Amino acid sequence: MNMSPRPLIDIRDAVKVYSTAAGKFEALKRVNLQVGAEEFVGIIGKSGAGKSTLLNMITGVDHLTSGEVIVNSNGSSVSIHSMSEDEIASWRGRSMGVVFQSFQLLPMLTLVENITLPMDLCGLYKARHSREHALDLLRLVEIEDHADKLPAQISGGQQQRVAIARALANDPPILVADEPTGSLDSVTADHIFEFFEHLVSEQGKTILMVTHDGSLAPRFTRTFEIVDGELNEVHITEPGLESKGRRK
Amino acid sequence: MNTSPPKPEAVSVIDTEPKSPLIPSPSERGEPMIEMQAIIKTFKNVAGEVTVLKSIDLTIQRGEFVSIVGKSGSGKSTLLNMITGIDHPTAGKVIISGTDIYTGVTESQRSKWRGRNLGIVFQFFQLLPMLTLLENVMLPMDYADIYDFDARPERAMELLKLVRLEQFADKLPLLVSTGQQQLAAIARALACDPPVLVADEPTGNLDTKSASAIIDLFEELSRRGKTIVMVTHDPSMTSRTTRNITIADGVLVADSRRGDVVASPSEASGEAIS
Repeated sequence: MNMSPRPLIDIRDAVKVYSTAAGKFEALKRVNLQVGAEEFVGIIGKSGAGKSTLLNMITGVDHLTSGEVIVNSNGSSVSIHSMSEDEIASWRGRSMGVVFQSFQLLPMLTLVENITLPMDLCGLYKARHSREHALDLLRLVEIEDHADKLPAQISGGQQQRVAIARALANDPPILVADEPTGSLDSVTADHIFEFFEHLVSEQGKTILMVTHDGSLAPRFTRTFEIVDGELNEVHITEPGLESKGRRK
Repeated sequence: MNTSPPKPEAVSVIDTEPKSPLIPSPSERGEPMIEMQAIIKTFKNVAGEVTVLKSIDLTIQRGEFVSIVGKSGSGKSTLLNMITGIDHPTAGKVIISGTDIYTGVTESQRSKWRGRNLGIVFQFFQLLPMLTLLENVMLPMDYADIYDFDARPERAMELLKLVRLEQFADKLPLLVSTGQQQLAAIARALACDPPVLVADEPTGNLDTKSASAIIDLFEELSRRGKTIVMVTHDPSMTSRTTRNITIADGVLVADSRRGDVVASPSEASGEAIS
C-alpha cells in the first residue's frame, strides 16, 4: 500500500449526537479511522448502525458534534468541519466524488448533461471541453452509446455507472460510496463492485464504501464493522480469502 | 422547434411576482397549452407487450390546475412522462404551447426545450444532495443558459423566498425537512419561469401539513397564470384543483372542471376518448 506519512483521510474521535423527541441519540461514538491512499475500505453495518452518518461526516454533508475529520489530498491538509458550507462545497467538488444508492441522477437531464454538471459547478473545464470529457467518462463506464438518453431510458445498473462517471468528473482522489449496489441485482452489483476495484488498482483512487452486505468483506483491502455507532476493524483470517480478495 | 426564447435582460422584477392579470382572461383560458393526440404507449416485457396508454386524447388549457388521479398501474405517471418527454409515446403527438415535442426532435434538443418550458416536480424531490438549496435552484438556469450569469443567485434567492426557505438557502437538502425539500424542488422547477409545471405525486412522500402547504403554493402559482398538471393517488387533493381527470387501465374515464357536475371526458370537453 502506498502509505504516505499522513493518512489521506484521518477521522479523530468523531462523535455525532442527534436530539430526538425521545431524547439524545449517539449515532457515532468516538470513531477513529485512518485511510491511506489507494485503499479500498469497506464499512459494514446494519440499518441504523451509523454507517451513512459516518460517510456524511467525511463528505461534510452533516456536522460532527465533536471530533475532527482531516483530509490530506492535492497537496493540502483540510479539517473539513472547520470550513464554512461554501468552502466545504467547493473543496468537496474537487476532492471527493460521491456515489449514492439511489444514483441521484437528475431525471430531466441527459446522461452527458448529468456528468457535465459537477464540471460546470467547479469550473475546472471550459464548456466546450466538459462535454468531451463527459463522453470520455461515459466511454470508461461503457455507456457512451446512450450519452443523449435520459436516465429513465436505461437500466438501474447503467444509471449507477453513469453516477460513478459523474463522481469521477473532476478526477477526485477519493470516492465515497453509500450502498452503491443496494438497489441492484446481484450480477449487476458484482459488475459495479469490479469497476470500483478497477478504479483502485488501475487509477489509484481511494474508495470508502458503506454497505450492509457482509459477503463483500473479503474483497476490500480493509474492512470495518460499525455497530451502534462503534467502529471496529474486521480481521479476516479465513484461509483462501486473503489471496482471493485482498490485493495489497 | 424553437429552442431559443429571448433571454430576460434582468431579474429586477422577479417573474414570481403576480402577472397581470392574475387569472388568465377567458380568451387565454381558451388557448390550448398541452395537446395530446391519440397517445399510445406500449411497453415490452418478458410476458409480451403491455399497452399502458390506449389512444389518449387530452387538451389542457393555459392556466388550468389539473389533477390526474388513478390507481397504481393505471397509467397516470406514464401519461405525465409523455408530457415531460422523460418517456416517449409509441404513437401519437404531444404539442405543448404550439411545439410538437417528439416529431423530428433529438433528445438533446428536447432537453433544452424542456429546461426553458417545463418545470418538473418529483415525488422524491431529486435535489442533488451535494449542492445547497440555492445551488439546486440555480441549476436549471445554468443548463438552460437563461438569465445573466451574475443575476442567477439573486433570482434563486427570490424563488426560495417565495417558498419561504430563504433562511435555509445555504443548507444542504439533508439538513432540512422533507416538506422543505419539496418546496425547494418547486422553487427549482420555477427557476426558468416555465409556463407549465408538471408534478408527479408531489405530496406522496409528505405528511398532511406539508402536503397542504405544497398544494397552497400550487394554487397560488395557478392564480398567477401557471398551467399545472399534477398526478396524485390522493383523492383529497382533487378538491383543490380546477380540473380533475381520472385514468383507469390506460383510458381517461372521467373529466370534470370545478363547478361541473362530474361528467365523462367526452361530455366535459367534447374530446374523443377510447
